[in-house]
Amino acid sequence: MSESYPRFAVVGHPNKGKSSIVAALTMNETVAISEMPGTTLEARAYRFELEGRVLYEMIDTPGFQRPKTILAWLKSHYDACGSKHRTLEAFIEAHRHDAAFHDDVALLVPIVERGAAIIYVVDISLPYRETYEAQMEILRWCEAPSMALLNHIDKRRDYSEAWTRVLRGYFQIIKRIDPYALTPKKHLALMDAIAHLNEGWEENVMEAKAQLAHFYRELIKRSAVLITEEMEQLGSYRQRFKIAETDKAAAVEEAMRRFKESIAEKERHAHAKIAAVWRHEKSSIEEESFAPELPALFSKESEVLFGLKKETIIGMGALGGAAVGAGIDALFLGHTLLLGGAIGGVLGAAGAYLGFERIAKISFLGIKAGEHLLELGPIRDINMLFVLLLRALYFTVSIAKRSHAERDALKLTLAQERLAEQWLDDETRKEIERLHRILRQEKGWEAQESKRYVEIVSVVLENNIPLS
Amino acid sequence: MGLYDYLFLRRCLQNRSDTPQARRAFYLSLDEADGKDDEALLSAWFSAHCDAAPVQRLKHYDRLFFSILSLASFLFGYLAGYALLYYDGSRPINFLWYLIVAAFLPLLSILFSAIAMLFSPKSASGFGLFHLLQALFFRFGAKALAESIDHKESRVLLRYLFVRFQRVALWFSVGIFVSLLVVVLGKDIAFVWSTTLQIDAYDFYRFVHALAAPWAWCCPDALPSQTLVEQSRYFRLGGKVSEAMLSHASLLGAWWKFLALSVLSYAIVPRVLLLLWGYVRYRRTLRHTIDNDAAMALLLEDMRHARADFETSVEGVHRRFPEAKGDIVRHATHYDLLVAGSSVEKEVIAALGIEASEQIALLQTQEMQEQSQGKRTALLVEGWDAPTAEKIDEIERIAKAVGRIDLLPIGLREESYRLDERQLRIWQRLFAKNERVRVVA
Repeated sequence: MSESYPRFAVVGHPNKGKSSIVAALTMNETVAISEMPGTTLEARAYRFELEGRVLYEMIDTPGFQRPKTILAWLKSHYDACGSKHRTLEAFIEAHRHDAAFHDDVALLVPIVERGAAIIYVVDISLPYRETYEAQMEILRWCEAPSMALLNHIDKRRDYSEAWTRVLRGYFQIIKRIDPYALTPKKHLALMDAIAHLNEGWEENVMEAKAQLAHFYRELIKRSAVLITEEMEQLGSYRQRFKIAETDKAAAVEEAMRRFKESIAEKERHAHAKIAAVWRHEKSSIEEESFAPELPALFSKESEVLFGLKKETIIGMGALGGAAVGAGIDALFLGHTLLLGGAIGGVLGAAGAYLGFERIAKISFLGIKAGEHLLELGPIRDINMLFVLLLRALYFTVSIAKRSHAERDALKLTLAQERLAEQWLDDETRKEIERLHRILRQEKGWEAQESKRYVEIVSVVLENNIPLS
Repeated sequence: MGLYDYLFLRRCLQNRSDTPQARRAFYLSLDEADGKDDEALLSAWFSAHCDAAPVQRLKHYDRLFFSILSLASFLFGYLAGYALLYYDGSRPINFLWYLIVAAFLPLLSILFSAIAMLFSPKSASGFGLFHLLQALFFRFGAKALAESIDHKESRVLLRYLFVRFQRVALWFSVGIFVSLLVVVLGKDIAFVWSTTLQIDAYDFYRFVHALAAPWAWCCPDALPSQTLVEQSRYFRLGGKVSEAMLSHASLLGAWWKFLALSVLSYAIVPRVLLLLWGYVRYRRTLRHTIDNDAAMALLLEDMRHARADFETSVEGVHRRFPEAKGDIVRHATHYDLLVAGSSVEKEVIAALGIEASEQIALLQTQEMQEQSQGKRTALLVEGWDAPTAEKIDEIERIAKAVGRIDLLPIGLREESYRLDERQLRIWQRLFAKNERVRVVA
């Protein structure tokens, strides 16, 4: 006896996009999709589970291979078996180990033995042929709840009318689907149709739909967290380079090249993580690298001693001198009118200022005390931060809407001005700008500011990855 | 969960892409998971999923560095105290020096530290000690970490360093305190006070009385009397101890209690209080940072709440097809025999430009065998639809009956009955192993 949860066997003629539909509906990019008919050799079940409890199961099956022969067999054995279902069971039993009927048995087992409902896939860009009738007739013999999905593979031709006329005679529900354009919204809408296949399953499928919506919301939230992390990392990114005194221009150019490489690599890494959230780890993505130029960055050259800047060393000198002076003041029980502290501070600061260069030349264990540094970053230009954010948002929305049936590379070209206007209203833009300004500062974002950014990004993503 | 655990957990989270289900499964595998607080859960997850070796290494370097620093500080304090209390019996010890170094200077540094803590920068970048620490053990313990500390982390790090350096400073005071006890225990010291300033004994008495206020209520013995203050004043003139002082030399040692309690009250206790305050602030900042860390919040949420997801336990099994060999040749313009299905009409044949001496619809194999002996035969099939095994069997049966055929898969009418290269290749691959069938375009 099979467990009681809704099962859907996706069946049909070879090469009609069954695996593409299953890949899209189960967000699984590992489902083999091939142009060769008959690639799928075994039925493969994909369960939508909550804590080990199966909410529904989608089964990818091989295509029909010998429908005419099977139908003939069924008809000839019907009388002996007594019922259509028993005749199908007898067929499976008789051909379970018959290599010639391997695919057909694998297709029928989930329906006949495990009680799966039928989702029959047809390609409406190709004409209906009478040879399909045998397949539909066999499915009718299964006496299982059934629906037909009209897959429009080649948009140049449309034979949907002819198909619909025929399919009406066999299937309760007929729906159109484009597995290559299955957005979260369409996915959820399809669940409504599936729910009506079998009254007994309606509640389960509706629960599954609610969980699916929750699942998508979680992906959006996860993406928002990743975008915020990316912005925080890239928006405040600084890199220090040791600059040789000789050929400074070349050294600066080299530093700039390395800085751009680091930024681009970090962005790629962040985007790969977002793609992974949406189960697109294997997708090939072509995106132009983000490469801010020098004027868009904060950059400064400085001398450091033991890793400390000159200002810090002077400050420390002043503090040290003041402390010694204060000690002298204390020794005289304050009768020096705190002059010791003041003079000590001035002497300490002056000493540090004058001695800085000399100490910088000292080397200890081969390590020079002083260095000439060029610090690049963070991004100075607020617009560049917007560009960075829009790139991340655009990437996320594109990847979220990308079907898992798609195997071609995703090519992204950002039209940022248009997106900024469409996706961000004035108020949101102002709030983002405020947060970007804080991000550029030395202190960066506080935890609450990061949290606020996640909220804003979540809202923008929710608006652009609609679920209903 | 400490600072280093947090820093490494954050990086571990950034580098991993776990599914919510995996996180939930981990949570369910924990003993008494529901009773665990956030930090305990994060720690458990970290131990199970991340490489703990760098954290342990960094903690080790941290312990080593600050232990050495604390020991050095203690020894420095002890030796400084010992030096200040060095006594060979020839001259008494002016305890003012000891008081300044052991109590007033630490008190001053405590005040500075407290002010620094109140007005501390929001992040450690540009903060001297932070860079110093980076240069020391961060370089050895976790170079990658040292280079990637961000603002939020550096803020916690600053608080942490504050606590650590306060502990080092505390050990200095403990050292100086211990030195006093050791010296007092092993020597009979005569403490005096001496100053160039024109301060009379009564003023000084009032001064030390005020200093002793914190312990006056509990240790009256450690409260110097006015007589003691007067008797223990030492004048530089003559360089010798006066007879009067010698006569009550036994009393001069009484100052040690005052000095010990001064160090306790002005150096050790305030330092401990500052240390505790700093520790509370550090923990609060760490807690606040962890609570507001979106990635960690997500991890906790994933662990605590069940989420549905797609699962598949079976690996996909796929049929492999041989690769197509050679180019697809064009069909001949003339065939002896043209075999076609019933749906293939004359229009199709005309469009393809094929001439045939004979043309028959699909026949029984026997009949075809008889008719096609030694004839050049072409078989037309509807190539736009993927063939089933049934169809392939049929083609192979015909090929076997005829001996050798040119298989011409045709396209849809809208495409002038032609298939594109990709579709033809599919047909070619399907019959790649059959020598009797040649797919033609």
